[in-house]
Amino acid sequence: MERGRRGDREAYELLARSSTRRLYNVALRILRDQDRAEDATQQALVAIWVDLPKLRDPERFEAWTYRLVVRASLAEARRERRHSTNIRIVPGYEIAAADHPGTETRDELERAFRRLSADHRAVIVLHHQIGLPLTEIATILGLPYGTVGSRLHYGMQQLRAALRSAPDESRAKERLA
Amino acid sequence: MSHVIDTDRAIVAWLDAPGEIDPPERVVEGAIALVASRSQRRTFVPILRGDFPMQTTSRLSWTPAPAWLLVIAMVAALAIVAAIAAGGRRAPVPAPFGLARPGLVAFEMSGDVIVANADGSARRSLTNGSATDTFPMFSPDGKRLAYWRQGTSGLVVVVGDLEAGSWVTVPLPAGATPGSPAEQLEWSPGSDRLLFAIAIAPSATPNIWTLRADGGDLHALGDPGVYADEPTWSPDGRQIMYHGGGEGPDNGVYVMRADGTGSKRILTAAGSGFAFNMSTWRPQGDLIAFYAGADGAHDVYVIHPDGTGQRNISADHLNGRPTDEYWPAWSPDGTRLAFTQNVVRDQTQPFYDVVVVVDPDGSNAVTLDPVRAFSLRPESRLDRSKPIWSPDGKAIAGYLFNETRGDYAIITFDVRDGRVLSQVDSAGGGGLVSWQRLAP
Repeated sequence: MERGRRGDREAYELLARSSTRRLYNVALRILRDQDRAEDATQQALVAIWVDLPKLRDPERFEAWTYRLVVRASLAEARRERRHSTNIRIVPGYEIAAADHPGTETRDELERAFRRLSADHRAVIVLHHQIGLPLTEIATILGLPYGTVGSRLHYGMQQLRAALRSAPDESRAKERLA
Repeated sequence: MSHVIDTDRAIVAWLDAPGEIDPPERVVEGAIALVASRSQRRTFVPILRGDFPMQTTSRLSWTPAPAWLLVIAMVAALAIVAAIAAGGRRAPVPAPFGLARPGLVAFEMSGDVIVANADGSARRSLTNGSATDTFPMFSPDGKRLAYWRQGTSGLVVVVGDLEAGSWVTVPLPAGATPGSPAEQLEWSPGSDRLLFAIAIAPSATPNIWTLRADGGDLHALGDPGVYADEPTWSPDGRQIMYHGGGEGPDNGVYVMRADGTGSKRILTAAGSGFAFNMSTWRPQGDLIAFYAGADGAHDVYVIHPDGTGQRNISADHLNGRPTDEYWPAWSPDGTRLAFTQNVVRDQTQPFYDVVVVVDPDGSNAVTLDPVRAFSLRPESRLDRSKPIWSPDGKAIAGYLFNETRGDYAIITFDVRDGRVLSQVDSAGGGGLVSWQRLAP
């Protein structure tokens, strides 16, 4: 870490290789698109190099990189809105939807999740998938705690509503749980 | 309630459905290829402090003392204030310091050194090619420029005469990297030597080095086993101040003789790993300004070089919210001190920077908010670069970051009211602006 901060490219490569999978999966879940997730991950990896001298506390590296990949994902999402016809569904989700019952429910959730802003999606992913507490998300995103809480609350409300609107709610829950 | 819990569990299960997916190898390979031509942004950002303004931080606490102790403390404080105020108005400014006519500004942009007039005119690139050139610094006499070059052959110092166009490259020992992310090439008051810190692999401990401006006499100073970076000469050239102790318990500001002997930690203020960077010597030589304290709540202090008279001079609260003050910079004539203040101002701007200008005793504070004055919100903000004074003391330069475009511009603003005077594109830039001093 210290060598990377001082401009050692080999040290950076080690950091980048060890971080790529983790960052890619965060971007993928926020963006729901493989190509854009790749782009966002790559932007975050470049940002790690460019801004690594700013990082003074090695113990915060992981949290800091979450911030970078979320920021890159949000930027990608803004581009996504301008080129919405290019959106492709994440292959993993396509497989899951095709191979399991409850396809309508999954599609409903997918649509509801996509309707959320990327800011809302980021909070949900960081909290429910990465398992970060809201205080940590607030620091990572540079947002007040209350804003993070309200985004999570609103986002989950939308997803709950989507789940309830699925053809057979109780059956869907049973399948998904 | 259980209905909601079941529903949420179902939603989380749906989110987790694909499991961990391996990214294609091209993602990381592409990033590595991209950074091969990119320089690191050596802005002076205490990253976790600035990027995590909401984090709970421990504050330096004050314990009530008996009344007689308070009286003594107040008398001592008044004496210090009087001494500082007297010093601030009467101490002469030795040559080559003091007010001067503004010349070119030099800065880094995407790994090349650019010079231009402060209004952006007469812009030209001094360097090009694959090497990364960073941290240009004009000499105090305004005639020379020095910068770091990181290329395939390692780290070198480039120094030369801007007018004559003659440049010398000085290779540093193999495995050398700049001593800190904010490491500059510091000129001696006589513009004849350079001072800097480097760490030489496999060691990560930076040490101080010096060389003549003609490229000769490269050698280390001080104890090689001691962590030391960001050195600067005293205005009379007889002493060297540096940031020592790394991020451990000895972290602090140190002063030693110019030959590297007699090193001493001069302050008692405590500080986190982010503190004590970019300390600065008043042109009169009688005060050093630095910042210390807990992460997210640093304060700016002044102290005499002998370690006496330590005093917190920065305002610490704005609307009841903790603020963070850092990177003090003396005006060319030493009568005013500027520093950056980071504050969470409202819900739409998670963090935000202003520049505060005070007298040496902390009085007569003026807050400069060029972003607001120039209606640049919400997409732009000052990007926490150290305030750079114009040689005539009338303006300050800093970096403006555009969130939407993700690029930088250098702005200069009036020290009286924060009015923006100029804006120079520096996309991909960062680091430090150096402002050339010309004869008044």
